[in-house]
Amino acid sequence: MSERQKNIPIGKLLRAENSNFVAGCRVRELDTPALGALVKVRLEDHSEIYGLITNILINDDSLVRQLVSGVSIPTEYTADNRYNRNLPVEIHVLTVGYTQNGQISHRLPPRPPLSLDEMHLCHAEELARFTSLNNQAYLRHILRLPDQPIEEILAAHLRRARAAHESTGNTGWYEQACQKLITLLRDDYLRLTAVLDVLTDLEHE
Amino acid sequence: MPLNYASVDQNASRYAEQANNWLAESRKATGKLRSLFEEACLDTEGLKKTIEQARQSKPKLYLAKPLHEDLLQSYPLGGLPESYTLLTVDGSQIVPSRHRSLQFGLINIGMLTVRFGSGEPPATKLVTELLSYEEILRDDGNLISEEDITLIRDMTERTLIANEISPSLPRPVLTVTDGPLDLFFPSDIQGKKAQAAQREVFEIDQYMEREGILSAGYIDKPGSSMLHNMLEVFAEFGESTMPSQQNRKLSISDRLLLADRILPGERSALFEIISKRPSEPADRLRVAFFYLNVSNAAEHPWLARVEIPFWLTQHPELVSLVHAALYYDAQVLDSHPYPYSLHRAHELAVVRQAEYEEIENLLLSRFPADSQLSGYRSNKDYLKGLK
Repeated sequence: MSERQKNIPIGKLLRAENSNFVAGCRVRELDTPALGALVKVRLEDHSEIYGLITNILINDDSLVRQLVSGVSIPTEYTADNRYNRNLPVEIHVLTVGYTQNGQISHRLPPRPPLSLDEMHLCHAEELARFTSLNNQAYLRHILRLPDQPIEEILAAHLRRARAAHESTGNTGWYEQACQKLITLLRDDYLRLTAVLDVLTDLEHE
Repeated sequence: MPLNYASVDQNASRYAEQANNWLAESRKATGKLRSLFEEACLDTEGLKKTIEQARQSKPKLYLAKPLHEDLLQSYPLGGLPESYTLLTVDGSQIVPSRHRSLQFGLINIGMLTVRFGSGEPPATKLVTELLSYEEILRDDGNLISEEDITLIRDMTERTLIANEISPSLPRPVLTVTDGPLDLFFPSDIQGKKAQAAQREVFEIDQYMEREGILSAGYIDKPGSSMLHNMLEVFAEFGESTMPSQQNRKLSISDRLLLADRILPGERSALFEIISKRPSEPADRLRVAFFYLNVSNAAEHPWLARVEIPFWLTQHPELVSLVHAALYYDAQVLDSHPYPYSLHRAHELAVVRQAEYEEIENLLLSRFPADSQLSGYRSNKDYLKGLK
């Protein structure tokens, strides 16, 4: 199976800037993307931009608001609104790196992806490869997120990444990631405490 | 340039006073008309004979004729089968305009097929037809009008419904369109074209009857005064007198006349539409109707007119099904009761300005740059588009 075949398409880009992008998908495709998952967008020049899902937004419109206040909705009409009506689910992604000429970088890409570019969910092998490089430098992007539940995004991401590394026999990755976070947050005691709480939770799983 | 609000403001109070006077006058007339309605209902057979007399002697008629039900009764809501199909259609159109760079006509039909009981999302279908150049020109060489294109759209809607009927649709099947069931057109549409369309609608209805497919036309906030017209005939041909009116003739809508008689969820008695105009084909669709109170609050009645083919009135259980299916569908949007499925068909069909312009650009791209057919927009249209 090729790299492209292993990565599952989960939407197309609505808008983007260097540091983040938003993709849209239909509700039928929603069983694949999840908070903290690593995704990528391939550009026309064959470079790839990586990101972490930081939020999934279910949009409404005036008809949905009418239906919500209604007494009862037939199952068929609930399905109509979910699957037929043109209300894309928005997947918000934080850019965490890119590849150019096969080299992975944890810096921001020179250019953002373009609208309607296809976004793919990275498979476990690729997740392990991306997160193992550069001493987990990409984690700094997450810690810079304003007005976001950073601890929850971190927990969701670390859980996935730890499973991906352990499946390849790398049992030390998770501890390295925790050390990296402690280093990055050494001057922010409040946030470090919150992150350590979440990490403690993860260790009990 | 905005409106001259000062001028409007000066006249607003006078306008409100006039409107209130009109309302008071209408209410008074409605009260008197209700008494006459009750009088007429005492002898429904006599009323029917009077209407037939009028039908023979008058060149033009548009009124309600009672059928077999008690006109003073309100008919309760029945149940629905566990599975049935609701197929709704609505359309919109682009009318060719000489002010645009290119004259073209288009119809866009949205169709929603709901298989109730399946739990599956409804099937949606969108049919977009660019009218041929011959179709957008009338016989006199002028561009077709809004009414011409509405006739084409309505015919296409009905043909698509008939084509959509298949054995795979769970029975019973109810098809619903927005507006009257028969085709209506202003007198400036060339007679033969309109007559042919009405005949085709009649043939489609015969096919639907053979297949056992129910159809209905749903008219929200109807303004017609078919009962008022009926009572005028009753008074003219009988011994009763029409209530006198003060200044001008007031047309009391059926909605106003019946509003207090029909409880939420219930329907009026069945009536037949008697429509007579010169040059109408003899083999024309016979249409019956009832008023349905789609409101869920007794203090705010909201009457919609539901038109059904006459043959359906011979099957009370099918009338009850149409009644229940439309009421429950309207309750899905219960704060503004209107059938959800019709709203969705409209949502599918509506052509917005941006789409109009995209289609126009697509067509323009098929002409060479110096083509005389794809000229400039009129200066008036260009300037109206300035923001």
